[in-house]
Amino acid sequence: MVRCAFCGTEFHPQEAKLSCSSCPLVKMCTHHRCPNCGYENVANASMFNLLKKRKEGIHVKQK
Amino acid sequence: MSGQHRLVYDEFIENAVRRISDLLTDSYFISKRAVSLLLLQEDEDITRLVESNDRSNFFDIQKIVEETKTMYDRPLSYVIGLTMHEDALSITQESVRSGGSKRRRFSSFLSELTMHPVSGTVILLLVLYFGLYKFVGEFGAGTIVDFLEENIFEGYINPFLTRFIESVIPWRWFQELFVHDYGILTLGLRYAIAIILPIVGTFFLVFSIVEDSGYLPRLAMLVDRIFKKIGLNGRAVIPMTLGFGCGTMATIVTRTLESRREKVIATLLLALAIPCSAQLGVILALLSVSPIALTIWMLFVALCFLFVGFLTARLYPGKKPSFYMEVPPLRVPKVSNVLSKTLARMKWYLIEVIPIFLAASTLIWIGNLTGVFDLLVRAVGPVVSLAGLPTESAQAFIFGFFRRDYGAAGLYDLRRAGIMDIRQILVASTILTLFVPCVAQFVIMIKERGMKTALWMAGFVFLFASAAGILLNGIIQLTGVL
Repeated sequence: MVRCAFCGTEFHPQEAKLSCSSCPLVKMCTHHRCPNCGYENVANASMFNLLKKRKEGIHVKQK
Repeated sequence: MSGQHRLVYDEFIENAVRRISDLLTDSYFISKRAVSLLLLQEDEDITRLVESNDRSNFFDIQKIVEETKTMYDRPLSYVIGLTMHEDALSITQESVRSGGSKRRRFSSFLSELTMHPVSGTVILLLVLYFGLYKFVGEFGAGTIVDFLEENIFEGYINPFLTRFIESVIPWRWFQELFVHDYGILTLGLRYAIAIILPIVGTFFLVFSIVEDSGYLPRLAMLVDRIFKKIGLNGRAVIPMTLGFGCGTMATIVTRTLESRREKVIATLLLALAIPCSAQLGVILALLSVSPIALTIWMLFVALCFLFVGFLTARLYPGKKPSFYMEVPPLRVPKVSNVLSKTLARMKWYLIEVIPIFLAASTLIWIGNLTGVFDLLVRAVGPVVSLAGLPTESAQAFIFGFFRRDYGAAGLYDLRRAGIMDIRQILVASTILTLFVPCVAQFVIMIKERGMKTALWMAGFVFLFASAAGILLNGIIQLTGVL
């Protein structure tokens, strides 16, 4: 789930994609438009996600 | 909890709800009362549904909605929303016992301060001073750009690339496509990596901190009163704030505004007076040598924003916009969120900016070869001279049409070469801020508002920016401020 940085609404990224399905850049777009207020929230950087998942993976192994 | 809570509205709304409910004959997936309330709020989906399911009574229902609207000076969606909010607040107060920790009390106090007209303005000025002026202007556009430009690009990369291209390509005219004054490597790549990237990087970092702290919705509340004077409301803070990142994206986001009037006003103001992040950063770097010049630039652009907004709102009359929103709590920004968002924005920016900068350099090279670029410079020359600027600055304005930040980087080069003094830099920065939007933004303006409106806006912006530049130059020379 994504939490809108402007109005605080929580929504699924797929829900955001529906509102801009006509945009030609939708496949490569890294923004999630909030269905409540229209604010464009930036998705986390892929490199950062990778590091986060790796860190979480290490924690799980240690447990 | 015992019994069922029932929200009661004032007598006009309750009366309208009763009358509409009686007219609804078909069955709906929600109660008749809820359908009636949504009809009063002019919900598009429900109105369409009732129009097709209860066709025979739809005219009478519309009549009741119109009658009820005349009882209030604010839209019914606002009146009903406000009653719901007050009711929700009273339920929370009755049923939830707050721990009342010191931290929560401080957060609520700070939240109130950010939205108060006086303390909110002071906080906004502090955010602008430390976030934009000190961090983006002085550190990003000053320290980092100077290091990358002078030490890395001019010291190593550009001489190496020039020697390499000269040894591989024997023809001077073809060498100029890649290196020398307007080469795609020595100009396009240098502008993108050494000037623009550090500026947008520092700007995106500040923006992500502000965004993650929950300050943006409070800013919307703060400016709502002023925005109403120019035909907009607090909701327009979303496209306006995004415009400080990229005007093209922000123009698309104007779709979220309610009426066509609001969309037109917001699109025009975005094209006219909202500089994009890179342009803003370069202008801050150019003017940070003189705090007076920077203050004049800020006040003059803000005045143009309000003046044009006020004028357009009068010339384009329409429904008075209303705005209310739930304000999420203030929070301490999370470092991982801030870094992740900054990186994602920088990556997106680089993917977008480098091909355009390289294409712009190639077009300028073709323009130079064919003589078209010289013709354009000569055409813009008289306007530039009227504003007291050297003819060399005409290049920056033509660059600016490809991308606003490309033009600003052109001004940065002219200042470093010592061609312009601080008065000329101030006038040029003001004209460039107000000047016609870049190609991408203009294309989106056509797509969103139609060819006729977009052309009208571009024409107006060109004339207004030129007139404002000439006027500002005259005022400065007359008063001798700089």
